[in-house]
Parts: sequence; C-alpha cells; structure tokens
Amino acid sequence: MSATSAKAVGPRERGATRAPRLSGRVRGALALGLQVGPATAFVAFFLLAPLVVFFLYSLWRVRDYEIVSEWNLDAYKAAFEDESYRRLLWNTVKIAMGASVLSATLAFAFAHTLRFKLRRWQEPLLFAVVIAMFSGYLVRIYAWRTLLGDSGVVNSALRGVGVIDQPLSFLLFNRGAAVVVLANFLIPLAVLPVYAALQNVRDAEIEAARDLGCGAWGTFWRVTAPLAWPGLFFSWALSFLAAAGDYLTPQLVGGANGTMVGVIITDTFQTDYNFPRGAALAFTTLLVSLAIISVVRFVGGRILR
Amino acid sequence: MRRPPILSWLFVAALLLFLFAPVVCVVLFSFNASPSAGLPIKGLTLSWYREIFDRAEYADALRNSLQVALASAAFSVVAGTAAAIALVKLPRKVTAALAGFFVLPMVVPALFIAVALLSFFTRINFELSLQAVIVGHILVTLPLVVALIGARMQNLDLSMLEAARDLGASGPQAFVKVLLPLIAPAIVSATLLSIATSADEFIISLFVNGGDQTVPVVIFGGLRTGVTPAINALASTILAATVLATAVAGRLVSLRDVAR
Repeated sequence: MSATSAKAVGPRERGATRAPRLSGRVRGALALGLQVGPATAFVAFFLLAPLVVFFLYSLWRVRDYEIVSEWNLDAYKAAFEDESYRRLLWNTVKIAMGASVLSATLAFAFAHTLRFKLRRWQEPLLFAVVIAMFSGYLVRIYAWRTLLGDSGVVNSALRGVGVIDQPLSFLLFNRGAAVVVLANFLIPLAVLPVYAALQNVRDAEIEAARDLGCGAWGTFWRVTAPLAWPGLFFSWALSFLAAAGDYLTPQLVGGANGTMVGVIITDTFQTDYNFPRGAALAFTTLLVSLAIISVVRFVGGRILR
Repeated sequence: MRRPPILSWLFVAALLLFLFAPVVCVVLFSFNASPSAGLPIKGLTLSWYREIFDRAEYADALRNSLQVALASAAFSVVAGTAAAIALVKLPRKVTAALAGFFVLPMVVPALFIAVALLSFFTRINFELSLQAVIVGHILVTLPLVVALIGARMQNLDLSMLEAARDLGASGPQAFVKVLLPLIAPAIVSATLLSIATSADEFIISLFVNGGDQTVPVVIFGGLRTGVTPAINALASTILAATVLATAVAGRLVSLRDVAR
C-alpha cells in the first residue's frame, strides 16, 4: 500500500517542481474539458453540422438525382410562389396556434390548480403527468382512430345508448381533430415549465396583494400572471414549435383540411428525393414559426408587466 | 379554501382522463378476442401477444428497439453525467452557454432534426442503419440526462467533495465514495428515462433506419392497413416498458427538482 502510493506521488511531485503553479490548473482544466468534451463534440458533430449541411442544401440544386453545389434561391422562391405550400403553411399556423394555445391554457389551469387548490396532491398528480409525457407518442395519436372513428368507441357507445343511428363522422379527419390530438400529447410537455414558474409565486406575495385590497382577479392579473409568464410563454412556444413541425398527427387524423407542412416536407424527402426543396420548406416553416413566437413574446411581455 | 375543492378535482380528473384515454384504449383492445379493434369487447385473449413473437417483422423490431434503447442510453448516461458534473465547476458564463447548447436538441422540432440528419448522413456516406438511429436517439436522450443530473448537482452541497479531498481522498476516490452515491438515484432515473424516450421515438427512426425498423416505425407501417389487435399488442408492450421505466424513475428523483 505504502509502496504504491509512494510510486504514485513520485512523478506528480517532480512535475510540480518543474512547473509549480501551472500543472495543477492545467490538469484541472484538462479534466473538466475531458468531461464536457464527448457530449459537446457529439452534439456539435451530429446536430450543428447536420443543420449546416441542411441549410446549404436549401441553397443548392438537384441535377441528375445528385445534389450539386450551385448556389441559388430557387427552392425558396418556389416555396413562396407555390400557392399550395402557402395555403398549407397558413393551415399549419392555424392548427399549431389552436393546439398550442389549448395546451398551454389547460397546462396552466392544471398547474395552477395543483399549486393553489390541491397542494397536498401535487406530487402524485405531477407524477401522473410525467408518466403521460413519456408514454406513447405514436400510440397516443393512432389510438384516436379507435376512439373517434366511425366504428370507434365513442360512436359505438352513442349508438348503443340510442342517441344516434348514423356514426358522427365529423369527429375525425379534420382540423378540429388535429388540434385535439396535438393537444393530447403536448399538454404533458407544457405542464412542467408552467408548474416550475408557479413555484416562484410565493404565498406572501399573494397575501400582500390581497391585504392591499386587490381582488382575486386583480391578484391573478397583477401578481400571479406576470410571475408565471416566462414559464407559460416557454410552454406555449415549445408546444407551438412541436405542433408546427409534427408529421404524424396531420398524417393520421388530420384528413383533407387538417394537412400540415410536416406532411409535405416528409413527402419531398421520401417520395421526391428533392432535398433542396424539402430543406427550403423546412427552413421557411421554422422562420415563420420563430417570427410568430417573437411577436407573441413581445406582445405578452408588454401586456403582463 | 375551507370547502372541499370539488371543481378542482373535477377539472383534474377530466384532464387526466383526456390524457390517458388513448393509452388505456390501446391496451384494452390488445386483449380483445374480436379481430376488429373496436367495441364491443368479445372476451379476453392473449393470442395477439403470441402473434408478436410469431411474426418475424415484429420480433425483429422489438430486438432493434431494445438494442437502440440500451446503446443510446449507455452513451448518453456516461457522456451526459460526465458533462453535467463538470458543468457546475466551470465558470458561470461557460456553464450558461453549454447549458443552452445542450437544450438545443430539445427545442429544435424532431422532424427538423430527422431531415437534417438524413441530409448529413447521405452527404458523409454514413450508411442509414441501426447505428444511424442510435445517433439520432442520443441527440434526444443526451439533453435529458444532462438536465436530470444537472438538476441533482445543483441541489448538492459540493463542499462535501472538498471535505473528502481535505481528508486525503484522491479525485477518483472522492468521486466513487462521495459523489457517486449522492447522484446514483439520478443516474438510474436518467438511464430509465433515456430508455423510455428511445423506445418511444418515432420521427428520427422513420427517416434514418435504412430498413432496420424499430417498433414505432413498424407500427406506423402496419397502420396503413388499419389498426389491428396485433398492432395494439405490440404498442402495449412498448407502453408497458416506458410506463414502468418512467414510474421507477419518478420514484427515484424528486419531481420538484426536475421541474425547475
């Protein structure tokens, strides 16, 4: 034991005499670098580099089924001039806005109820939401066909009770269905940030507002809402981005008027193999989404000050 | 405050019903003896679960999913834990920048990551395969691990590590004997949530699998011919795994730590 430790100390001490101040600090920095390095390099190589290549593709051109680096803006021009894409983008914005506002509102109401009304049940109820968050993205979407389809659970039940004799076919394959199904998997995602924000609202602050003569609504608008706004905004923005970029929901339950850009982007890659066009469509959609998100951030921040 | 919050309970119950209805419905119909996935339930059977193992396509998909989940969890837990531990020791500005960097894959829409990865892999001639799927999944699970372990690290009293060093422990000794036991629950829960996330991931897997399909991709393919009880059974096995993993993970860490 003593022999091994003496051996281990030996070279370190010699190194220390040669460069007394630097070695410790350098070794510490090196160790930290080695710890952060692999994860950082991985994300840089497999996320940043692909995003750069993807962006370059949107500026290049396909010739003879090969992508060649001839710089041009044709793919973007085509995206803006293509009336069907414009219509689809508008449809996407409407659906994503509906779904994200619905999700953020319900998530806020849920988190608010947990924080102020059902305090003792916070942990188990939050636990239920986390389980929902990690269970079945694909399942959650396709199950709605079984629930709302013509021979689905809701229609069979209603027919069994005798309320209807023809199945209600408006339940599925339209814009409304897309909004409801998107909200179904977005709500769990939206709950956590709002819940965290509401933890910042202290009871003393609420009581102070009430003592100073603020009503329940006044306290909500002047104390709770401004304090929760950053979390609420994050929840909404995350839901909006996820909804605008979703492929499965419009594909499986959206029907004709519930189609979104995710479907056309996927088709451009998988059926047409037109990578530049697909990339341009994806970047245009992302830019439009980010623009909408910044407007909401600005306006919301102004109102809830 | 004094009267029982009936309205609050009604709202919470309705929301949870909305969230869990699709999941419960799929599991329920996976046991339905009738071959059409719908009401009424004509007796219960396990035969759809046997079909999973009889159909090579389904069995392969399960094996692929398991392989991808374990590989991506292993890498992201090791690399992510190391990064999260180092993050608290780095200067504030570096930590903030890196934290933002690691959140990136969580905020960029999954479809966007999927098509960008597809473009990148074809550009550098990286064969679309299970390895490509693993890379894609690590992008999703790594931020999760960094966030979970990072949250635990921030709630730790790091002076304990210094105390260990002052009492003569070497760096590795202090890590194994002091830090590791403290963050072990967070590491286990991060592993489980990585596995759950990977098993559930669909869109990246769809784009880069190159023929080695995972369970969600096979389910998606099967949906073209309609929802069958066998698909429900396959989906239920994955659901059981993800719900179990999440439930255990949730018991190990304080949810309030995570919801920062």
